[in-house]
Amino acid sequence: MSTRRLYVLVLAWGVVTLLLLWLFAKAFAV
Amino acid sequence: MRALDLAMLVAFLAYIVWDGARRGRGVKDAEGYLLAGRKMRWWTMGLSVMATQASAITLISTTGQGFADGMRFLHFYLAIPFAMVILCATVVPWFHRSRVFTAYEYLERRFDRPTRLLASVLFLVTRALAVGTVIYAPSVVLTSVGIPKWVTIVAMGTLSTIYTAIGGNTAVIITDAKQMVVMVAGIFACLIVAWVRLPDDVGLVGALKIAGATQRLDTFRLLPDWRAVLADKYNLFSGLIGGLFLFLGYFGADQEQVQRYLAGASVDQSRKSLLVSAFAKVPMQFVILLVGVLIYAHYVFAPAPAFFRAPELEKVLAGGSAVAAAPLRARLDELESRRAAASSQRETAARAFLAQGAPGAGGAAGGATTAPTIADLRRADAAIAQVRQDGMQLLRDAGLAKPDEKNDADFVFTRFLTTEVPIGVAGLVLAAIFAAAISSLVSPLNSLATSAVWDLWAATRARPPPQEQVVRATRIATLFWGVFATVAAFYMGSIPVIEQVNRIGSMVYGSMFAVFLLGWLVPRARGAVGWVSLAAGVGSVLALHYGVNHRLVLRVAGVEWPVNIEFLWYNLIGFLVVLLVGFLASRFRRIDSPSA
Repeated sequence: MSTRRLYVLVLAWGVVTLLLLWLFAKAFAV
Repeated sequence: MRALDLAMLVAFLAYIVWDGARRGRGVKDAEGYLLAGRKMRWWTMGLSVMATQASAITLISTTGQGFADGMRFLHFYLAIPFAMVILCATVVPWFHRSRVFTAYEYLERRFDRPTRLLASVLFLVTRALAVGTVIYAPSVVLTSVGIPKWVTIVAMGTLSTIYTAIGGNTAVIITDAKQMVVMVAGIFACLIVAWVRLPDDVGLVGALKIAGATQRLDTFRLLPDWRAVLADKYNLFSGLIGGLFLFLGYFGADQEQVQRYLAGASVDQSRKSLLVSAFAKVPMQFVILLVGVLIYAHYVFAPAPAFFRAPELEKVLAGGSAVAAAPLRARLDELESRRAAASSQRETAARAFLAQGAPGAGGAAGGATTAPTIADLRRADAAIAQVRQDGMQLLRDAGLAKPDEKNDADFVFTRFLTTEVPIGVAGLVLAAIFAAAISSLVSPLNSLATSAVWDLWAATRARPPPQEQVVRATRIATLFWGVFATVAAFYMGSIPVIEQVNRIGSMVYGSMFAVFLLGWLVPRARGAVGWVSLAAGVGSVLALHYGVNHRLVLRVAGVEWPVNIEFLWYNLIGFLVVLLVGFLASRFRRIDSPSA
């Protein structure tokens, strides 16, 4: 895998993490 | 401690020391000893980078934080993927291309020797302040599983020093990687036990609902006002912005981490090693915090002492004179009865809440009926938190805790470990705690020795010393730092440092990384501009911390603002000051010219 593609993958993972944490917080928020 | 668990721990420690020490056989050259011969593969270094960062405090204190405060601490790590990409594109190839042994050696090539010396000294001072804590913190907590404080301190200090001095960086990286595997196994073992120990009628979802109702699952914290954002320790902005600059400095300019990935066989190997943390760090911290949250849910339904350090007091009361003990006993009894009443209220409210269903999921009709239940649940929860706080006050009054020891939550994990985790599994978890502590001790020992010898001693000699001499000097320096860390751990209790480790780091990390970036962004910045801007960055953060923060009241847009800035923001401030001063100073020929 090219370095640039790896960077895109990591950045995407960072954004997906944020999204998942938002969903997690929302699912159990009262 | 049960015999099997203890035997597992001893066997694990013996293996690690043997495995580390044998890596030093036949190593005589500096590159072999300091940088593992630059032969390491990405996954070994990647695990070592993670193991270096994760200390025993991470395991014990983070679960405690999950228990008491919930998951908001996760914000601290959110910037890691972004920081790692920036580092992979900047310092990693710079260091590799210039074939340096330390990050600070690069600064001499780019700026001048004083810049290298200043950066090295800043690293040595900040790391030396933290290194005793790495041993001290677990030694205090492990007394609750029956291991005396001095045994932990001496065992960790001696074993780590021996194999790091003999085996050098190869020993550090390879044993770190193995210890990281043990740590992950221990964390998942805890998660499974915490899950299984929940009452059948509550289950994982029920536990999470209760945690949500008591505001422990706040993993996406947006605050409405900039003052709150600055004053709040962990939120989305402080994590993503302040945390970004903290991790750029920690992974990009702290020799403790740089020396791990400098051992890579190629730039690509080093890059990929950092990306292991980029992918795995946030999920790992999520699981550790989740363990804490599940332990919290467990104790909503299971009996617990008034506060988690109460057994220490009970032991003393049982052995002491009856007259002296009477007032303390009365206070403890009062706490226990308050705790029992609040526990029963909390359990009732939690069961009622689960029976009704969460209002968020159940819609408006559910919300109307559950509102009082949630209020009851939170009120009982707050009452228990107060009992635990009062308990710590009692412990301090009894002379069993230092004035700065306020955190009872650090002892939740070991309480759970000794009472709920089955034999054999507890041995694994105990080994994981030692693995976490040792792996985050050996890296600083190795790097403190390397920087002291390579940046301060070898670099300032008229002629470069022979390779064997560098290796011998680094081994001796490792012994020195090992003894220093062990002795410091014994004296640590009187200084409130446990929570300070990240704060101390935050005073320099942003500035340190900024100097590396300054060399790239501003080609004219040369010579003394390096150390002038670095000193300005660190100096302004120190001035802010000791002279302005919590001391001054400013008027911003017509509104009074008592200055209150949490530590993560220090990284951004240091970073900006260095770039600004560096840019301006590079315009002055007189500063610019001597080494240009």
